[in-house]
Amino acid sequence: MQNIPRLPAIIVAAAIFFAVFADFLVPHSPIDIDLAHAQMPPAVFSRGDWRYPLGTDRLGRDILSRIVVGTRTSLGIAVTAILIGGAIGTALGIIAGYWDGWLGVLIMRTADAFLAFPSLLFALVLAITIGPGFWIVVFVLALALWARFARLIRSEVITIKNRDFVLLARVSGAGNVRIIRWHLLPNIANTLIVLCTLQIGWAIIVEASLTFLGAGVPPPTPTWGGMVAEGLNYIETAWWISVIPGLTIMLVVFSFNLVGDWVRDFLDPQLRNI
Amino acid sequence: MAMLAEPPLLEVRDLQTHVFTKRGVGKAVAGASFSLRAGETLGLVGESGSGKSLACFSVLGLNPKPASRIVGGQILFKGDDLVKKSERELRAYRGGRIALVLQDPMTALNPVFTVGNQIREAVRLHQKLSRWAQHRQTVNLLERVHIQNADTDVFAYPHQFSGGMRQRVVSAIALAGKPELLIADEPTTALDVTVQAAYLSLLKEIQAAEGLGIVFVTHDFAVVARICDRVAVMYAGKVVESTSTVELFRAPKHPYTEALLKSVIDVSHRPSRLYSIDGNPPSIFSATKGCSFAPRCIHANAKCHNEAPPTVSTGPRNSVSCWRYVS
Amino acid sequence: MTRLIVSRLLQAVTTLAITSIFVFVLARTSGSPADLVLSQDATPSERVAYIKHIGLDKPLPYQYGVFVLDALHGDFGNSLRTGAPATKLVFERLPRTLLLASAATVFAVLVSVPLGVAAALHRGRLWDRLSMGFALLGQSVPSFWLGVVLILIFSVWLRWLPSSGVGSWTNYLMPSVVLGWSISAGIVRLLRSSMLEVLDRDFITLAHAKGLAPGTVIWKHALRNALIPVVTFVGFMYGVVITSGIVVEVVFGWPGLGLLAYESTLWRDFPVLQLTVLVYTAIIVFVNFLVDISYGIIDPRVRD
Repeated sequence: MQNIPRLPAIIVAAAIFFAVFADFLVPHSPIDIDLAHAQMPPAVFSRGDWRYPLGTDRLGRDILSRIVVGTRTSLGIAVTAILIGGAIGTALGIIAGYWDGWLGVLIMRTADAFLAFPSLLFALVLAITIGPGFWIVVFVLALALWARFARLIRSEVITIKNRDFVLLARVSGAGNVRIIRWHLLPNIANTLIVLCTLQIGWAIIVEASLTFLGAGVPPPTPTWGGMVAEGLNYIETAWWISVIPGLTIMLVVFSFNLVGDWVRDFLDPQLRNI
Repeated sequence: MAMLAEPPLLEVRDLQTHVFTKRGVGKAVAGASFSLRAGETLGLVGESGSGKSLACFSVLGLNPKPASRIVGGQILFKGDDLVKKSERELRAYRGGRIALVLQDPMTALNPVFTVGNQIREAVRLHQKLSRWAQHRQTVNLLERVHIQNADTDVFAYPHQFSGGMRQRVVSAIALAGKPELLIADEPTTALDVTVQAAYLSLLKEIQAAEGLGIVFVTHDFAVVARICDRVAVMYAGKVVESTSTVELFRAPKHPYTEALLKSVIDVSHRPSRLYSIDGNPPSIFSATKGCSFAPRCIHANAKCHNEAPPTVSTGPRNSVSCWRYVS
Repeated sequence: MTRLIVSRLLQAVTTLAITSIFVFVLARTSGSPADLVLSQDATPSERVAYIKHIGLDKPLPYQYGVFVLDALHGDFGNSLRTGAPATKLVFERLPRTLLLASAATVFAVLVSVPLGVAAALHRGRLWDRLSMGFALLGQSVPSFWLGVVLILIFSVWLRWLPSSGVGSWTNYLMPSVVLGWSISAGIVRLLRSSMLEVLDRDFITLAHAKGLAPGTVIWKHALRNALIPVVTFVGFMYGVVITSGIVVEVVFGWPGLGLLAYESTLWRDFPVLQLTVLVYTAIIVFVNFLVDISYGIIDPRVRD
């Protein structure tokens, strides 16, 4: 575990921790309105109060509590989307790579089409037609993610399937399923892990952007992107309402990216192209 | 034509170049000495890892930095010690006085510039000529290295040439600065045998015309026999024997040289078994006590294992580093 | 070569067709624009009349057929909000989006190329860490938030720059920086690794051996080779820049296609929204197509 970037790793661990245990940790309710304490700045400023360390928003809600609870939404969406998109993409990538032929070509062309598609716009359309929500965002993210997974896994599979140990397995009579399960999967595991960790940051940002635009998880659920959007009208007087949640996004995504880089170098420095 | 009193063009004395890696410091060149005169071809022979390429790169200060560094010795080019020169001063020697040709013609040229562009760049750097004259000179150089349609080929890209032709282009670039010394690091190793022969003829021809001194790194004795006047044999970073080509083949002195020659199959006397030298060269990262070849030497005795032999003279310009020749 | 062009062209058309069907179906099968356009107390019969008027009562495939036919005539319907032809609105706004995307890309390249080269030359040392840090930060900062922060600092507090609209070159500054920074990460990383790989090659050693100044070797010989994968990367990213620009346009009130898309989703303005999505997809597909084809120009080895 040498060289693990310490501070980012702590932040990542903290984020995961908060995502799971948020409800038990928050000092205040993230949803209840308390107009008496509205728009208080972070505690370090003169009008602030240490009971509300990061200040309050226009409805008097404690920003720190909302951020902590928001972790669950952001990470939840990111992880779910990656799991779903990753699973589909990996499966299709394996199929395309292993049974290289018209099916493989079809899958890859479809992936290319999905990659060309403006997913942000699509999310907007969905949000307006079906309505915003947790699963809408997951759906849009997964749609964008599967293609990335599919392309990468396919090229990995093509490389591996031509290696000697796979040929040996075939010669000794192993069937396709066996080969995929025992020879292919363990060898693409590293690539998968790295891709997943590197996409978490991306997913968090896209989710936040969607929520900011109104196409994500709707209020009153606290979300980082939503908090930034809500604070826009008060940017001149109570800038912290927008700035602090965004700062959180930046720190968390930065940490995930750094840790993701470390994971990649740790598992296999040759994956530097991902 | 070479007189006894003629000064050497290049004289390398006890050159030491170390490499710095995660595994530690490696003494890749551990005290190599060789020299040659103008108009002479010196063959630098040895296995991979003997330090011969690194020694050559060190002459021009082109050893990879910061992974390696010259830590000792002298490199005297017509009396000037290149080791003491700064990078800027060294640049004045590169191309114009000492030129370099590398082994792999496929990667030796920049793929995105035309062949003419790359040659003209060297011409422009070393000669004061008008643009038109530069172009003519470029075409002349291509003709000089026997490229057939020089007028049109000058606008071609490297990937449009074969390996042999690319090597000629590299040589044309080397000659553009009118150098006095040419260092060639295994330039024929990657070429087909017939192409090889043509290239070697070309080198000889140019040498005769220009009085060029050539340091020719190789592991192929056939090539040595063809074009080298003198030979320096390297093992584990040191030159263990330095002699004329004729003398080398007639009466090799160092046990390593003997063993090398034995392992080259002579078609006229086909041996019943292939000969190869037992063991491996020592790692450059470990310090050896005594002669570095001792572990593999059939003549080795206790003294050989304990003390490194000095280099003794065995003729007017010859030397060997072996206890057998110390009186 | 022609086979490549044809196959890519087919692919492009297919993508566009699928996209249009998607959006079309979605837009038509949910929520009724009638509710937004008509006032609250419109009678049911007025609703029905309106729906009939804009043709929403016919079966879907029929509607789609009509849509395609009209499209081939260049008629993409009229905005439900303003009544103006959708094409007019969209193509009025398109140039501004392209300008912003181009400015952002120029900024990204101008900043990233020196950083990528510096990172490669000073591998493992300070400039390497700084460059990679800058790049990573660009990937980690949400563009909408960065836009808000910059507006806060430069428009609200310092009053140096305008916070929205298009007027002079000052309007371009903040949006371009925000948009450009996000893609500079990829450029810096790619250029760094590309440069490191090129610097290792024989022709670089020989360039030094010619007696060339180190600057010439790096900026003329090495960079020209190292940039090859970077150019295609930037080409492909142009499409991403354009779509990421939607958020930036909304934050900065930049009157481009992104803002139009956002507005038309709020107003359920189907015709405009549909055309917007199609245009975006067409741009991305077209850019990718161009990049694929033009690879031959950049790398002489591919020409033959």
